Amino acid sequence: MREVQLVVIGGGAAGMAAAVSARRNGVQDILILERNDSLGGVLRQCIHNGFGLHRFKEDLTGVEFAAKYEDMVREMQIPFLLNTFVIELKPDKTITAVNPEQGLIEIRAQSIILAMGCRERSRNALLIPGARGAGIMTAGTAQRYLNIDGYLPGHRIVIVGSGDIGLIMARQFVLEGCQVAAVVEIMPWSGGLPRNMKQCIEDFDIPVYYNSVIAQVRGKERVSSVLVAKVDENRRLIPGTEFEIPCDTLLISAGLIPENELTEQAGIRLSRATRGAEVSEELETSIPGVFSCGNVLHVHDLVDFVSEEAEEAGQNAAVWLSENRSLPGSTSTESTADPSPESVFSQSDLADDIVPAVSGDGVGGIVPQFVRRGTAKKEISFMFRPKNRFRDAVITASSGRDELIRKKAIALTPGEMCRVTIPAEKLAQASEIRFSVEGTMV
Amino acid sequence: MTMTSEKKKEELVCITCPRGCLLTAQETESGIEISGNFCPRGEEYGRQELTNPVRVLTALMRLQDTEKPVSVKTDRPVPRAKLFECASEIYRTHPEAPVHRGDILIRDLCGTGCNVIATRDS
Ligand SMILES: Cc1cc2nc3c(=O)[nH]c(=O)nc-3n(C[C@H](O)[C@H](O)[C@H](O)COP(=O)(O)OP(=O)(O)OC[C@H]3O[C@@H](n4cnc5c(N)ncnc54)[C@H](O)[C@@H]3O)c2cc1C
Ligand code: SF4
Repeated sequence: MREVQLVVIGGGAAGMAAAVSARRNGVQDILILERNDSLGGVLRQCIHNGFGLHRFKEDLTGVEFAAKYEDMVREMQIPFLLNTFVIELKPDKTITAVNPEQGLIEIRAQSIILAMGCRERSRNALLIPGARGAGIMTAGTAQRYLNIDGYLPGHRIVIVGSGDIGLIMARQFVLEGCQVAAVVEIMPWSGGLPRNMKQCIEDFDIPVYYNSVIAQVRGKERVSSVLVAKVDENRRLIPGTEFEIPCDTLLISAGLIPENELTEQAGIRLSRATRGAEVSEELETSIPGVFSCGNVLHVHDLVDFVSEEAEEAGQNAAVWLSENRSLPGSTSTESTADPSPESVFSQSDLADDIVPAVSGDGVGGIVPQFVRRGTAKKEISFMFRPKNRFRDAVITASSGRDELIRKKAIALTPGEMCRVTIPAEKLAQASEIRFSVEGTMV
Repeated sequence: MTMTSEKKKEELVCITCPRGCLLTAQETESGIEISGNFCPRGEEYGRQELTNPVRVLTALMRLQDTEKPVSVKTDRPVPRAKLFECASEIYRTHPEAPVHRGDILIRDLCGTGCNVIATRDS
């Protein structure tokens, strides 16, 4: 069995940034495993701009952003295997992958960074009734058909869900000369970033139906129309509100789900709120030496924050490797037998040693889920999504009666992640970190 | 989005960076005042948006003799009113392969002064 110090699973924005950062922090023996035929992940199909403004202070397209990281990976000569699908991850950090040249590959890793990204919610997740003809696909699939393979999946398009991918595709289809007949959104607001609503939808006067669902898909061999209907406050269809929109393509843009089959298989604890691993402020999962970052940890809006998070994971893995200079082949069973401070938080019964982050009013999906007492970090950045749209909002974090931080925000929406940084010294006495959002709901 | 006389206050989302600040444009005696911007680029965006909105255009360009398209972008934003004209000019152009990231594929796109450059290798 091959031994590797650090294996990175997934070669998207997160995987590449994590590997580059681990190398910069002194890890020599790194291997990236990627199932596609090139590095880049979902960025390979994002030909639009709006990437890298934080990271590179430059307005790049997704394709260009990925190329920058791929250049770094190549310059640093970080090894990667393409067309290599990881099929199994064990709690002792052994990895099984397959690729067409080598067949079955078995690797024992000292530490692992999970960077598998996410996948799109499909039609089944939305329970759309009606015909099952051709012409129904996720927005990301349409994006791949068009931007990588070069063909248009349809000419008259209805988009269900207002996630960013759907909004971006709406604009591209319109510019390609297609008609985007409607965006249908079950919630009273958009699930995408406000800037995408502006530059992709409003700029082109594309009709958006809020509080609405697809009641039926019609068409035998191919979609020919959809019935759109209103829903009430409880998201139940209001009979009699249906109307028909002719179309040949229905795109589903209903959000993303972290791809955590491997994580689950390894017995790593997952968060119900984010659907990603539960991690400490070091981005370490419940298995010591296994870190998670990017969209597999929680769904990000911006690649800039993905790379930032991944660079941190890479650095933390490097520190972990230097502190746990365990013999090659040491397993997690051995490391729990000799509990280092790093492995303590993985045992939930030792709750005294961790400070949990808790969702208060209006808040969901906080990452990291907890902070270890006596953390070496000076400050800790938390990310979460507001549960509603708020105007003139105040974000607070508190422990019992003590307010740890208070931050104002003009407008918040679930389509946009909030980031709050708290100095570690403020957490020394805290029993929990409860985040809440207050403001006028709109 | 223009300012009308009866509507002296207008809200816009700054699309310059992902922060997406919610700007308020207020007409005053001394001209338009922008607030809500986190950085000076927001003010610039607000003024531009109210006078002549511009956008970076990204698209695909089909090459001669190859199936897979290359992705392209304008090196600067083009006037929003010219987006369709510019897009169809890009779709009409079929350069010869190979194309490399950074190559200029169209100069002075539709009289905008902007160039179209490849964002990936063919
Ligand atoms: C359509 C769209 C538009 C976006 N627009 C913007 C924007 O305008 N601005 C912005 O900043 N951000 C944008 N984003 C967000 C940004 O692109 C993503 O957040 C980021 O690229 C995610 O990177 P990642 O590495 O976490 O995931 P991914 O890119 O999904 O990478 C995961 C990689 O892991 C590989 N993998 C998964 N499982 C396995 C396995 N078992 N074995 C081997 N390999 C595996 C996958 O093949 C993939 O390459 C957009 C995203 C999308 C989808
Ligand atoms: S005002 Fe500045 S920070 Fe705010 S969105 Fe515009 S460019 Fe970004």
